[in-house]
Amino acid sequence: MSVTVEWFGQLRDAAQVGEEDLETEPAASVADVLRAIANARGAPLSGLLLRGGDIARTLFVSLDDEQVTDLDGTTVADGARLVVMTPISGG
Amino acid sequence: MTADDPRPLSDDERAVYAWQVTVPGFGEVGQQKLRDASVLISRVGGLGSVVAYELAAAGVGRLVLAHGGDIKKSDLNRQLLMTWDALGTSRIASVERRLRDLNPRLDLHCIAENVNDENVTDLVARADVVVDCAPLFEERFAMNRAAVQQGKPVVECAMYELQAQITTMIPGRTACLACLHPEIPPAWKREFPVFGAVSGAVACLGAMEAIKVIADLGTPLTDRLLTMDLRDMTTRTIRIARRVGCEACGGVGQ
Repeated sequence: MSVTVEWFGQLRDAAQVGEEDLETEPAASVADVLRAIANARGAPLSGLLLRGGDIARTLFVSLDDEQVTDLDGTTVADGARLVVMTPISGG
Repeated sequence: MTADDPRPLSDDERAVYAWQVTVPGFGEVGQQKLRDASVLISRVGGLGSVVAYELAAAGVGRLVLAHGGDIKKSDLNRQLLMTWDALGTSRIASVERRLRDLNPRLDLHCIAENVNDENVTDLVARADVVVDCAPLFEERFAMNRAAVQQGKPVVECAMYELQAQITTMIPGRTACLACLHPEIPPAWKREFPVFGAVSGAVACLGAMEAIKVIADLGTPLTDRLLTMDLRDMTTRTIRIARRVGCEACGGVGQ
């Protein structure tokens, strides 16, 4: 099963790519996908995705252009698009 | 004259705003609403400079502007109300001078400090609409809390590198800043990569959102987060919602 992950803000710098296609387990949750990426890629990406082993609360995630508020309870389908953002500001 | 019977536009106002009062759904009534409105902009840097300039040009009657510090060389790639000849002098003095050059009719409230816990309640109380252009989450969260408590709409603008995002928040009806980001991001840095053309692009959208909210024009960007990546010119509109248990707005309007 394949999903597209689009990185936004500091995550784009850490991932060194704007978006990428990733293979995931069937019925994986959004949190599963993000944890798998963090474990596979390590720092600096993992440092922005995880806090103390959990998905960082500061992340904003959307799935097919809908905000995801329950990362563990939301499963991704084949061909889904995740947008993952760290907060950004003015200045 | 009452709120329901605003004073008519002057000859100067009719002349200056001739190109926009003909916009369908706006008209002289919309222009009167702008003239009688007050907008808080914090800060008046890369985003806020352009928001303030556009709102001053559009004829918003009162601008409440908060920005501390003196002009540095590194401001000048994006903070379009700051000038080389004013390096080392007060940012807010430069802002005031540039805006008065454009629109001498403005009622400007210029505060030479950034939004903080001590001044935020008063600053938000002076405005009908808030435009958040601040770089630090401490001041953004303070402004968000005050806006929720006072029921003031907030236009949230942000940028990073070649990316930007914007949404319009109505307390009690839509998500607030803390619904989207419940904590201060520990990795966020005060200085970050960005072009002035990126901050200017999202700032123009922010100014238009403020105009729409004030003049009841079109459909504000509520319940949606517009994201842009100017690297490849892609845009995305993401449906957003209030967060159950939000510490800032959880008890408001539910």
